Amino acid sequence: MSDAVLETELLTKKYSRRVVVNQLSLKVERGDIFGFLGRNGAGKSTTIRMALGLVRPTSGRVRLLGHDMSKHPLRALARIGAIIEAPAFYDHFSGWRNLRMFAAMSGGAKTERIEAVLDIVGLRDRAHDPVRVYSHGMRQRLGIAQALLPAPEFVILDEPTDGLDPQGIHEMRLLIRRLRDELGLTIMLSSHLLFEVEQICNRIAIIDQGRLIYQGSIEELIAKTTTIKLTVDRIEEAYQLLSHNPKLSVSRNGDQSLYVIMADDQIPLVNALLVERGFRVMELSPQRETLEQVFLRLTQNPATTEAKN
Amino acid sequence: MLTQLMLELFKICRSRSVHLSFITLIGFVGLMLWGFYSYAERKTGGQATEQFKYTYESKNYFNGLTFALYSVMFSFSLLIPIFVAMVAGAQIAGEARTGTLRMICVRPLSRVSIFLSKFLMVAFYTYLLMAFFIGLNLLAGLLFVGWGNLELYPGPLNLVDEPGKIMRDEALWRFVYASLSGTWALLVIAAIAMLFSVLFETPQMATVATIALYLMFYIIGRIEFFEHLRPYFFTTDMDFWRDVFKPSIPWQSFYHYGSICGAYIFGTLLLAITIFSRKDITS
Repeated sequence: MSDAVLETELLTKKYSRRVVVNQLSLKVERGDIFGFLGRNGAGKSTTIRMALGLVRPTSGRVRLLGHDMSKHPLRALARIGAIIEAPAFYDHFSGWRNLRMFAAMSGGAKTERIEAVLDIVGLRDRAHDPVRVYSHGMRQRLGIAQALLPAPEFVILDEPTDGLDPQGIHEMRLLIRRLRDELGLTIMLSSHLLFEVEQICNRIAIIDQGRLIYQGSIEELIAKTTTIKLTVDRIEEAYQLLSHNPKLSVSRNGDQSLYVIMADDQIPLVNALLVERGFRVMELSPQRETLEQVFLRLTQNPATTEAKN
Repeated sequence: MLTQLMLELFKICRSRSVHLSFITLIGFVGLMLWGFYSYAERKTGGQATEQFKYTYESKNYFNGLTFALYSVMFSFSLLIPIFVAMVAGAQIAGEARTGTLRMICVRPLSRVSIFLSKFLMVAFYTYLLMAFFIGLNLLAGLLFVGWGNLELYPGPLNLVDEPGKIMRDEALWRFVYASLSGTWALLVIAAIAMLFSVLFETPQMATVATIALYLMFYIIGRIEFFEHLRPYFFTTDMDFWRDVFKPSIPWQSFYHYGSICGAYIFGTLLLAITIFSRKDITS
């Protein structure tokens, strides 16, 4: 039996003729810290909203913690915590009062539980201040506190670092790590901060224009193709020669080097070709791409994308 | 559901528009008193105080009950509906605008119960508003004018065709009935505002649309030229609440138009709930 906490099956959302999410099949396994990546407008928030029952899919299915969201959404929602984009609160009430109210909507929580989640997010000292005087970072932390209130099995954090300053981002990263390390939660994290995702997540999905273009481990994604830094004389001629090869993806970075993405078995062939044509090959070295570089490559050049389920 | 009702009560108690509505009604009663006094002063050549003293002692012609009746009747059509539309219109659209709606909707609560708890609280607020306003008018009438029987005259209230009277104790009961029938009539506006609150993304839009719709029918319904259209307007049916101030309550017509208002309320709520249950929360 699958241990997926979130599973979408050919999930599609259309607004009039515009397809926002296109046949998306995602799977978040129990224990995952799952990064959900995509450019602005790629369909991340719409997917998360469909997963939580806020938005009705045009077609496809969502299973959250084993429950079909079109049939038994409340059973699933009772066991999850979520913040969707900027967490919103009743600004004239205190953080404590807000938590009390949101806890009541989930069946209630004891004072000790509220104190515990305030401790986790480091807001205990400011709990009785009105939310309107909270900084953006404090509001985000209060958002996580309310998500943790019902002692969830699965937490969905949609852009939790959005709008935070570097200090706030750092604090949020530490907080998410605590959730993983100390509470053992399954977390789905949607973020633009790819370095953070690379540091925290074990699996990711990348979507672009509503379509899934990668799903799997970060290591696999980065190891999938090799980028070779190539330094040769007559660089313009070399660029022209290699860029005509459909098996290679060539880009220039400055005057002296080419960056060529290719399968490992192509490396000696490229070297041989260049030597045969009289080029002086001065450097041919594999480069390890960062998640950010892979992400940019995948989302900027749809021709190179591929889906993996 | 009870927890949700308590939460909605808590929110409504802290709402500025609710505070504003009660403060405005207090101001309105003050203005009405001032208006009555200055009118009487002008008509009696500066002897108003004596006139009211006479009224107080003789308890006839004009007294606190008459004052309360005029004040309630005048404000009911144009003032109280604004507050009801304002509070009801903010229920869904207001939470959507601030983003708290999406926070609520990812809790294990059905949208039907979210909607109904909000509507029930709006209904409670509407009753409080009516009861408070009627009570305030009666209190002001007692303190500043004095009580007697409720004298009814043909005139601007368009209530009776010939002079009539309701005895004081009976009249007080009629005010109690009015707080209930008036609330029921106002719930038509509350239901429409809740529907617009589901349809529009801002509370301002929902409130303005409700008030515009209400005033449009209200004004057209009062133009003699369009008299033949009057029976088709919900504003006409809403007037049933005034029947409790007729010397003899026409119960059959009262129940008939009250039932029509009920159909408006439940029909509009059903439509609003259906839309809200299927609505994409994108705010």
